[in-house]
Amino acid sequence: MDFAKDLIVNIGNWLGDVLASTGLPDPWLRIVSLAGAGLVLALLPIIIVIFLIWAERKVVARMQDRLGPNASGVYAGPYAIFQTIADAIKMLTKEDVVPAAADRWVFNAAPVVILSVAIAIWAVIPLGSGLIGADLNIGILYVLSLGAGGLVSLMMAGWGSNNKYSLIGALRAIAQLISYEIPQVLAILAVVMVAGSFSMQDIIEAQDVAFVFAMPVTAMLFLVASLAEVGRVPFDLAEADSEIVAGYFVEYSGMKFGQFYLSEFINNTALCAIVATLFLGGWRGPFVDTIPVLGSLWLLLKTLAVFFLFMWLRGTMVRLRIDQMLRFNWKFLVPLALVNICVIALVDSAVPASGVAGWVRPVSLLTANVALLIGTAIVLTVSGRRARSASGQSIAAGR
Amino acid sequence: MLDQFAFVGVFLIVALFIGIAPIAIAYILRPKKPNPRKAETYECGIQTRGETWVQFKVQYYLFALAFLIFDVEAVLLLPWAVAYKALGLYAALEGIVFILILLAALGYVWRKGGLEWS
Repeated sequence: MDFAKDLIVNIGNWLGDVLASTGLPDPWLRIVSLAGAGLVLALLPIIIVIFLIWAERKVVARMQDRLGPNASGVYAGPYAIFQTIADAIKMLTKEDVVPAAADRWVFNAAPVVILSVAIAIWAVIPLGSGLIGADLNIGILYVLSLGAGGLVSLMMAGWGSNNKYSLIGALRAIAQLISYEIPQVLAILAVVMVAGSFSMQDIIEAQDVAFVFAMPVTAMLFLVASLAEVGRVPFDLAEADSEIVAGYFVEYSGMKFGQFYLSEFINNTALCAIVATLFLGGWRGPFVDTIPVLGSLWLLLKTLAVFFLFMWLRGTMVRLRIDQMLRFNWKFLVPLALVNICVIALVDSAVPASGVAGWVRPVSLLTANVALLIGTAIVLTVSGRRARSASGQSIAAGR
Repeated sequence: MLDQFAFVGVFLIVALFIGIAPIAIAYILRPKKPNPRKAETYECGIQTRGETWVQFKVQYYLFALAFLIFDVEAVLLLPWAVAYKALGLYAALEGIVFILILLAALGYVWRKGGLEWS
């Protein structure tokens, strides 16, 4: 029974023992065990994503009053749950067309880079207590730096295709990604300030009260900025199928297209897991102390809840224009994120860390956040009223 | 900690392998019937005209410049965020002053019209 309580860690230890008993010399033993663990961790997001793609198609279809994929023949299983696997097999057997005008090396390298980067993020996502690829002391910075790697691959795809739609899509993607990186970094900064560490496990340990309740403004900033970072509706103007076909991956076909699609979903899932880690308490939940394997289940549930929110947004929102997208970021999110950091720094250093009851810090943070929200609402109301009256005057004056 | 970084190193190689593997499998499975018509650039149906690799809108550069300022600022603030509790109220106020200067810079760019997309 004890074996089942911390199931995944124990299976890992058992496999390690089996490997050690084969009598490999030491450096090779370490490398093989690390690579084995890495392979399992790298295949995990792919397996999750295969079912999430099905779930998204199904849920969004229901939201739009359609049926979505359903029982397409004997291959797809009940409710077409294996539809994605069928699609993957189809993509593997499709011809790969490279446009004659493309820059072949850059064109071919882009899908490899984007998928590798999307998978590499999973090294630092804590899947349970003691169940993490690498508990780096700079964990969350590692995630941010890999995000920049993804940006490079988008530019490689857009520029290498030598296609005008691709280039427009890539430029829009770059403008969006670098812009929204700032509120994202600043939101993470606020979390790091309260948790006092960059390590993902330390951030989870610090959440006796989940940060979404202590710092709702930061959570909202991070959610919106990350939504833009992965280019989901309403920030999908880099792909915009109805205007520039598919943006930076117009020219890709076969499995290369599949890799873009796959990495997009892996990024989404990783992001949902990061939101769950930073703001919802990650693997923490009831009974985790006695049965550690439950932690992975809690994390999965929280991740799915965030992912459902994303699907819901996709079913609800319309696409923004590029000027609206940039204006929203630079004139609203960035100033709000900067003020948010000031507020949290003030509250956090004013409330003593020790000698007070456990609820004092979260409650004072929450109070400051609510005050910040009210202040933001007042500023928005006043500036909105002023903008409306200005436009009303210009209409009246015939301008 | 070195252990953890060793794992990250190995994991990056595994990730690269996973990135190449599907294309390698597809290379074995897929049909290969090239034809000059297929290899044309796919835009809106008619043949593409003119250069693609041209100079593009200047606004992108303006936003990239604004991004650079705030990114450098984030780099400066990250170590402050971990350390400021140990340094007391003085360090917190110093960080806030730094952020206020940045807000003033943002206001300047805003007034100059650097945040408009025209």
